[in-house]
Amino acid sequence: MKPLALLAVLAAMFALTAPAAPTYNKDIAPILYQNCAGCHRPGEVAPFPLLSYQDTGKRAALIASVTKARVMPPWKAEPGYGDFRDVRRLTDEQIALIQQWASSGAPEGAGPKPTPPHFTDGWQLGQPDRIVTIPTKFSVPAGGPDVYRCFVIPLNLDKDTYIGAMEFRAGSRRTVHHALVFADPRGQGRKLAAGSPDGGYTCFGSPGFAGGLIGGWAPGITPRKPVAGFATTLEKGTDLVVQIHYHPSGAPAEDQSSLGLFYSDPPTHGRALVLVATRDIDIPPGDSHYVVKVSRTLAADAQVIGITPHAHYLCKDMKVNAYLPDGSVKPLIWIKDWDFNWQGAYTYATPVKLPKGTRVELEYTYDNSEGNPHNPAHPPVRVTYGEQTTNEMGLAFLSLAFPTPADAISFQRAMFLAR
Amino acid sequence: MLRARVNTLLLLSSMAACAGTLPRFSFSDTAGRVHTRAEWAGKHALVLLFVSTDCPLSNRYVPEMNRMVSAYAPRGVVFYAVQGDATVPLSQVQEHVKEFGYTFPYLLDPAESLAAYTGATATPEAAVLAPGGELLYLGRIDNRLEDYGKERVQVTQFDLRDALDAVLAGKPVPHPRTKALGCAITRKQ
Repeated sequence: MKPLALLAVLAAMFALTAPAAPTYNKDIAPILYQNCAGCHRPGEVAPFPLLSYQDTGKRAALIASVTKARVMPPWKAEPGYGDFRDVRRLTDEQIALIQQWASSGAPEGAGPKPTPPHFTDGWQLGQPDRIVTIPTKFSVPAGGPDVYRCFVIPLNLDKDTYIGAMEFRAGSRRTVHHALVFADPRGQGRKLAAGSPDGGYTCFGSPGFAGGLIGGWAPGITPRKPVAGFATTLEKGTDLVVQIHYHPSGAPAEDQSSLGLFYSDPPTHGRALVLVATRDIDIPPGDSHYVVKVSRTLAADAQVIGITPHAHYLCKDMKVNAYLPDGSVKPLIWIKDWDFNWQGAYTYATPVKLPKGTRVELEYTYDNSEGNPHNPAHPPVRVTYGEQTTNEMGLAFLSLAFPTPADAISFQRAMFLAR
Repeated sequence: MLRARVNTLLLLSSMAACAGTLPRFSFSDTAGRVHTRAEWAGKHALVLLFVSTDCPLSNRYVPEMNRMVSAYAPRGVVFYAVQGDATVPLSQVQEHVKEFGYTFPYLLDPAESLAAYTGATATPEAAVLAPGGELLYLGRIDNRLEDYGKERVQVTQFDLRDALDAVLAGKPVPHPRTKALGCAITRKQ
């Protein structure tokens, strides 16, 4: 017992001279509850819970590393370039506090144990009006490269249907990395999946047809509640095509993810998508700084409610800026360290108003050198535009809102004529 | 508790100092079988793979570990997975071993003596030992993980395979120490 007593004396002396180290109970638990526990709790997508000191103390070093590297919580957009909803980003002070806590031995601290927040289990938006799943249990391999698969979900709609909200629930929470939902009114997905035993087909990037992106899911995303006046219209006969990205976990898994649909009245407001994209991509092997620029000019006033940037493995930096007719610049998003594995749809906290004549420009930078760990080719090879993992893309979808559906239609017509 | 730990460390360091002999090697696996050094009599090398049940970085390597076992076990290399988190209850470890399909023994090491002996700090991390106990390689399995959250689409350096190839060829290991990124091995308080 003697060494312990000596330690206690030393610790007491130290306490008189140094500020108290942060503790789990007082300092760390509130940060983790606010930013991590939504996924890091039993039954959710994260690999381990972070609800108690027992969960957390032994992982202090890992938590300190991944928060410092800003790998966790996953959030790619730089602050100050677009003001987004559901920002999952720790402040520099919070990161420093976690570092300090881990390096001082991750103390639990005195006082009462903190109470984890109350979370809703299952569907976050309540019981959906209709629940659909991917057609069969899909077998996810234990190892090997990531799997990108599109599944066709026939809805058999006998009339136009209005969706106010949609919620995705991953089946195999350990392997489902993200999901994108497309509307397929022409049955093109069915053709691509014809003859497949699981009702799906391999797709990387797009679903293989020009389908409207109507929803998505990635870990940490809060499902959107319906907004009065807004709804997605699914024409009679429309199928859903869900693209799921699986990240093998080391163990074989089976997935049958589901989608909850929440019906709504017909929309009184309008929505439209603007695609800013280029096919002019031809990156020489070894080029570590290949820049692509492309822009589109808005043919009428518009409000941007969200943005979905997209590229493949080689892209490292994405900037989208709006150049207004008055000469001012509104940054729409900046992703400094693009990672294909963390594609996201970003929603603005308040819609960004852009007047007619605004030029929306994307500037993407690609790294096709040996030094880019994401480079799928070793040694690097020439990479051109295309849909495959070995090709590159450069695009951004802007999601726009209009006062009425007619305004949205006339906007799209004006954009088409301006091409 | 503290004294016991200090004694273990002293014992290990004195043993390591005396011609690199291993600590008394007798460990139960998750199925209750006891593994001793009799198992590597006449073998060329011993690989300890430090792993944990709920570290995704470690778990994703299980298929590659199994591939290495089938490639190198016939060439005289003995593989053990070693528990890197002694706080996980045995039943959970057993379930994990079954689910992930380890094809080689998963040793329980509640005193963490193997991590202490080799100096392993992370899961996954590999240690290659000569049959006499000399540490020939310690570090990552390969360079798939470039950094936390940054995974190579294609592995370009196979450090553990290179180490084993060198040992089997009777040559020095090219890079005897590499940095293993992963989850920290849980040290008992």
